[in-house]
Amino acid sequence: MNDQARTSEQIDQELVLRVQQGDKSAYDHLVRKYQHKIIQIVNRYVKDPSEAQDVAQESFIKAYRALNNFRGDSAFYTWLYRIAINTAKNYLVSRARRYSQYEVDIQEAEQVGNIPQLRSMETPEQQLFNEEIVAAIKSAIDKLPEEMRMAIMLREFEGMSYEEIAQAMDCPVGTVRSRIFRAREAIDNKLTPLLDNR
Amino acid sequence: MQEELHCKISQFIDDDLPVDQALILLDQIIDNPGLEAKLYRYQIAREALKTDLHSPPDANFVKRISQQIKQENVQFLPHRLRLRKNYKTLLAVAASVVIVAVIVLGSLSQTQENNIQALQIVASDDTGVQDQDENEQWAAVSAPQPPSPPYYDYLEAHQGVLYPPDSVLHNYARTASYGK
Repeated sequence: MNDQARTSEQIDQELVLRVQQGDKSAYDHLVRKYQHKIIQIVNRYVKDPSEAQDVAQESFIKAYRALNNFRGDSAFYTWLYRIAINTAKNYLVSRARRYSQYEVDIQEAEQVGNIPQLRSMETPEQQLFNEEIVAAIKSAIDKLPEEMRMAIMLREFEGMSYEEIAQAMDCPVGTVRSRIFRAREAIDNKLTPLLDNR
Repeated sequence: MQEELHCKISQFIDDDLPVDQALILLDQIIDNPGLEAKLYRYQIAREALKTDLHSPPDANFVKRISQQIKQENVQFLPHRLRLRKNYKTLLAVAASVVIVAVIVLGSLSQTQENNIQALQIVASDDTGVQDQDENEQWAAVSAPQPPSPPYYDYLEAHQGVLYPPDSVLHNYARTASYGK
């Protein structure tokens, strides 16, 4: 386990402990931290984005109710991830029962989730909106100075740590930190008007 | 100040922020919707870069769950999380404890031996002549006494063995042992 994963787990452990001690706001932090990832996972199974959000929400609520049984043997995210997948599968099964004319193959759902053309449940507006977001981000990255672009790409696409990026770019870790932050700010400047107009 | 916080959010989503600072930042986010929006947008950008399929959660996702949880009547039993064990650290600690125990026990037994030797030296110095008399008396008491005359004759006749080699008692004893 690398330092970053360890840091993330330690933060989660502290937050889980706070929730177990009765601090409900600590659970908001966990939701805030993992909402994007969990929705992304659920979206692989449940094609309709609004349904996926409902299933993701249900997953978080289930996790909260079961938090007393969480002992920290595995990472919180791994545990939450399993709950999300099971909730999504159960949702598909129950929906199939309700609408028996639809055949649902869960294994198939796992595979077709990666094919954009098969995400037919998205409305054209949603599709357009998502495409605009991606286009804005890519355009912002293209306009970045070379060092910033390289730093953010090594981080986001290659998943390298700050230390590894510092070695690759032959510069101090502090410089990497600053370059990545500046790159994110540049992307954010493009993204904010889009999200505000939603 | 605000830029510093934004930089920390950037570090936080990369898991580069130390735990204590991350927890402080998360608490600051509760009171600052601007910070929460910044975190939300940074996360959208990250997920969108990883996959074209990203459909972001709506902005009220956290709030909706928070409200639902407030209505939940879940009671948590008090217990601590079992921290994931770092076996190398545990092994190192156990080895250190064993080494310290061996050293302490070794030094203790060494001290005891030294004390005993010192006592013996002191004792022998103090009672030199008296000990000699006592030793002679002890030797006289512990010396093997000659057997009484009837046994002496018997042992002499049977080469110092109490029972003759072919005694029936041997067989009888074995039989008794099998029966048992």
